[in-house]
Amino acid sequence: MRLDEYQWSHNPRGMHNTQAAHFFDVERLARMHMGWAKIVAVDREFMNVIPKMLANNITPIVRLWRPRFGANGFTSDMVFAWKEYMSAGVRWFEFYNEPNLEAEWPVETPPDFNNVAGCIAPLMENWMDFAEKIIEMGGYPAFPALAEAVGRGEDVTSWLVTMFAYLSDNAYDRFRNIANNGLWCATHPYFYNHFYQEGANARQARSPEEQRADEGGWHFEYPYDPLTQADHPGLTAVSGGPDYPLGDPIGLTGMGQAFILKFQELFGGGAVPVVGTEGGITPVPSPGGVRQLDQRFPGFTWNSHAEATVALFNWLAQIGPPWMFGLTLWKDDEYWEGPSGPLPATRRLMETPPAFKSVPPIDALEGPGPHVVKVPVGPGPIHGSPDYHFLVVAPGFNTAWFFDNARDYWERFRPTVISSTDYIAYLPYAKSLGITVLATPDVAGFMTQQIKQRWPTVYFDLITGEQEADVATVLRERAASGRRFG
Amino acid sequence: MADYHFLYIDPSLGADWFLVAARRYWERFRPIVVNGFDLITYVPTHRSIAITTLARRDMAQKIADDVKKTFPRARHDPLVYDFVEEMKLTLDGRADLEQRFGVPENVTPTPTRKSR
Repeated sequence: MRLDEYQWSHNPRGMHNTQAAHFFDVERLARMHMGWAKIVAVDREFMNVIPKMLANNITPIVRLWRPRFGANGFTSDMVFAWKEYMSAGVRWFEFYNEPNLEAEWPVETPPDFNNVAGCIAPLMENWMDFAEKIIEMGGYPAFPALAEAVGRGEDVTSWLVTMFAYLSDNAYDRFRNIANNGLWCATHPYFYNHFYQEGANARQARSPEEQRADEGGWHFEYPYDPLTQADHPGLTAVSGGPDYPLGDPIGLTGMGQAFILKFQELFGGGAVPVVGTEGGITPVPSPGGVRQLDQRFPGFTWNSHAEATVALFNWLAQIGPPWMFGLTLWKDDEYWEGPSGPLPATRRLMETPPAFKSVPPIDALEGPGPHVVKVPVGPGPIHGSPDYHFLVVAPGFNTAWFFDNARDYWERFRPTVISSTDYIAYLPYAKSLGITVLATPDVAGFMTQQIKQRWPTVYFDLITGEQEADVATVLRERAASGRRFG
Repeated sequence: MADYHFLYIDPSLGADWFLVAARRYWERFRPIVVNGFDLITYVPTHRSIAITTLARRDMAQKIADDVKKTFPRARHDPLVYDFVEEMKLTLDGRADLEQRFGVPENVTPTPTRKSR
């Protein structure tokens, strides 16, 4: 399936409904020139608005809400509702919502990306069942939107990486088949003030009062924008320097970029659509106030929020990546029924015609993918001692502990020093590998899962400690005793 | 910027060439530190490579010849100094100026539309 074959309004503007079973005013959406409407429903209570939406070139996206749904599979009442919505013309469906958040799971089974067997595996297996059911009915299934949480068991990038690793290792062909038959990715880009409009040059931002939606120079490509790159050269949505070892996806297209990068890397994509089904420039402003959560960027005000909101949709249509199809703002009541009345963005959207997006014919899959050669990926079993020895400095580990204490160890054993485990996959099966990992206790589990579970033939050697002295002692003793792996 | 950036430190050079001279450089740019070239041969052909080599004058020509012969498609970034302190000055300067290869790099471009 190609990117230009998906049926939609080609208008990136969208709004999320107030809540399930709450009236959704289609005429108001039409006055704002919306192209998407995100509907969270309990059942079929929105059936009557679907024809009106489609008649106004508004593409509906439907998710059936169930409290603390966890990794449950779909039920017969869901299938019945999906079929009804499908018969009314809905094509775009979501299933799980922010599965990396505790609020979406039963209290007794909190989510954790480290828990592959109890969390990631059932989630992905049941999600694939959903996706195949939607495709069978003629619709487009969404890859689950992750909440942009950072750190610990809810960390968004770690979740994405672990979900993709599971699919790659256990359902490679099945996922590729889903990808080639209507897959899209839902994201929730609440991107704060991670945008700006150029002033005198690309690295000089206008003040909020000077911003105009109908003038050029807008930058919504965070973290790829000139300001961020000047501050953190090379930072991407999935990788970066010591400050951001897992990258920074908190931008309008950040999580979409992360999804596409991993999709291309692990499955041979291509591109599939990405739609932000919650989010926007948040938190919504109040009169007289300035929202500036990130001090590197200008804040936004009651009125500049409106200019930027119009500009972001124009940017998505005219400049943004071809796979980013739009965003449904969070949410209808916050825009229309706030404590100070409707946000100025509602007026600006009504008085500004939408920009429509032209989509190029990019295939979902660009080739047979990295697994087409059916030989084991990565290094093989160890016979005697490993052929190669990698030393990995895990994300968050204090590098000074390594540089100040590893002299004898490195001098004696000369391991290859790496920061990312991606390179392991390139080693041929005829070669073997031992890996020494320097990690803080809080990421030890993640590193174990990333290496030991993915490459069971690799000798896994973890060095961890709460104090520098703990790590120093281990390295010194190993060097003195000639034991590379202790 | 290449897909993979290697920092080659010849096995005959002591630990100071890495742990002292290249410390800040590595903390800034995180290249893969290797003592031989065989690991680099595993990079898939569709991925780009850059190799920064640290060498004294007596070994520099051989290393350059080896890189050119084995990895003709790689970007070779040779650094030749006879003393750790001189190497450190250069590498620290690169870290300070955020210049991985000693020259200004273009900022990471905005992902562009792909053509078929």
